[in-house]
Amino acid sequence: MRARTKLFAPLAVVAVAALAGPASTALADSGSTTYSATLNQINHSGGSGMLTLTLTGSTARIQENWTGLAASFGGAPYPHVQHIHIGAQGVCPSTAADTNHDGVISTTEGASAYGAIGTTLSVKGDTSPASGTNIKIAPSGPSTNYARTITLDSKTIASIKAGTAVIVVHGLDPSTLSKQAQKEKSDLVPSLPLAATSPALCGSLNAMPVGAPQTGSGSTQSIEHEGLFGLGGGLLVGAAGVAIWARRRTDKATDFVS
Amino acid sequence: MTRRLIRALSTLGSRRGLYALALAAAAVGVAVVVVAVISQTSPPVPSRSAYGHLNASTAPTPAVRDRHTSPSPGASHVTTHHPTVPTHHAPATPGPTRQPLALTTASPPTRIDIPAVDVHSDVIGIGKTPGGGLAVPQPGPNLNKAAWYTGSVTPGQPGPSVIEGHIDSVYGPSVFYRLGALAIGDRISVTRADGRVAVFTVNAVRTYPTHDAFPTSIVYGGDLSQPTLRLITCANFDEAIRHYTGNEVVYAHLIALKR
Ligand SMILES: [Cu+2]
Repeated sequence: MRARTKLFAPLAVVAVAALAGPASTALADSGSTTYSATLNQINHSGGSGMLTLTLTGSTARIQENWTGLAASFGGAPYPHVQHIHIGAQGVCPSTAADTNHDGVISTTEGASAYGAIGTTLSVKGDTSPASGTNIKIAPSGPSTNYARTITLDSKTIASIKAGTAVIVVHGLDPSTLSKQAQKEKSDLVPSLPLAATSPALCGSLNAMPVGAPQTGSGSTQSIEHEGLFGLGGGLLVGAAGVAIWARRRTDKATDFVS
Repeated sequence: MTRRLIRALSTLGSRRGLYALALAAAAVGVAVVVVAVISQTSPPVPSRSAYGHLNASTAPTPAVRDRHTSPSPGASHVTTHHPTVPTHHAPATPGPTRQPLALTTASPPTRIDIPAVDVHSDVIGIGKTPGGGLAVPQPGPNLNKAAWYTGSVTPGQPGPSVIEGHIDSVYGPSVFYRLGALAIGDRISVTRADGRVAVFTVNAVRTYPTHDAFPTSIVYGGDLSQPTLRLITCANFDEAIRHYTGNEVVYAHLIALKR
């Protein structure tokens, strides 16, 4: 039954689109898949967030909200570079990923879990991996409310569809790092400290559940006490029968008199 | 009754007697049907007044209402949310920090309590089916438990945390049987594995008549900036196909955090 519905669904969409004319958005909507990621803290950043991505063809409408990250860096709002990482396991790294034991999972150390940068989630301009560490176009400050529609490349799209895309937001408060880690340089941009580019939030991107959950059997919707309904109905039918019979007798009597 | 019946029988043949008999039978018949109708059990259907506003931040703040006005235990460490003056450790420390009411650490829910409709249930984690839909609790010890979608945020984190439950099972009413009786302002407490309790208040109760009308992107997405809760169950039973054709969704937002 479900399979048949699925088979006919595209046909139905075509039919609806034909009926509604070119202005209809039915076709576009049906070709969209919406994904979501819960952005949980990594490296004790103290942040939390969520991202949704609606993919239609190669167009991605992204909405994202996070809060609780490092607020300022050298007196200016702290830039938090953020990316869609692709092509690995599609998960966030555990503390075991800290192979140099400095207490920080660096971007490189986490790569075996979430992969390389596929798309840069900048606030404006370039979204390619080349802009991955461009802090001038990164969201900044302790929280963000991000909404942007961008075009994704084929590699990122393939990874999203394969379930291996991971959202990573970078940038830690240096004071929360170990003494050793505070002295280290960034594995991505050697001119920056390690804290500046290390992961702060991470969440794998998964398709939202399709359809609606089937959370009922209908057991409390069936007619209970059917016997009672039968008895009551029978009595009513009987009463009507008797009444009709009485009326007919009356009519006969009347006939006899006249 | 019997005397009347005997009298009716003795005068059987007379017109009055027959009418009396018909009247008696009709009266008993109606009474039996009324009893049968009254004894039917059916899940409550949301009232129009519970329609509410989907976006909690634009919804008028309802007068905080607790049908069961029992003092909440452990209220000493209550963090209360006030739309204009956000305080982090009210009322003990009135020093206003500009931090919004939210939990930034993830911790899965273990229990849900909705006093207004007498729901008190353990919460299990649930994922998706191979077909990509939201899985539901299966027959066994978890059938009548509420289930948190593991792909959604944990309760109290910014964003919508999604908890579903059956309305009924083959054994009768299930955990979310009375969800339709929820009203705007009712409280929902969700306890997390880390011991924190996120308290939500209902801002909308919506019925979607068909599964196709289910607003996926709103239920699992929508406003990501504040901690919200969605409760999902089935609705709109279709007698012809013997199945629920739609869903009920309760939209709530965080108003307090307890230790
Ligand atoms: Cu990154």
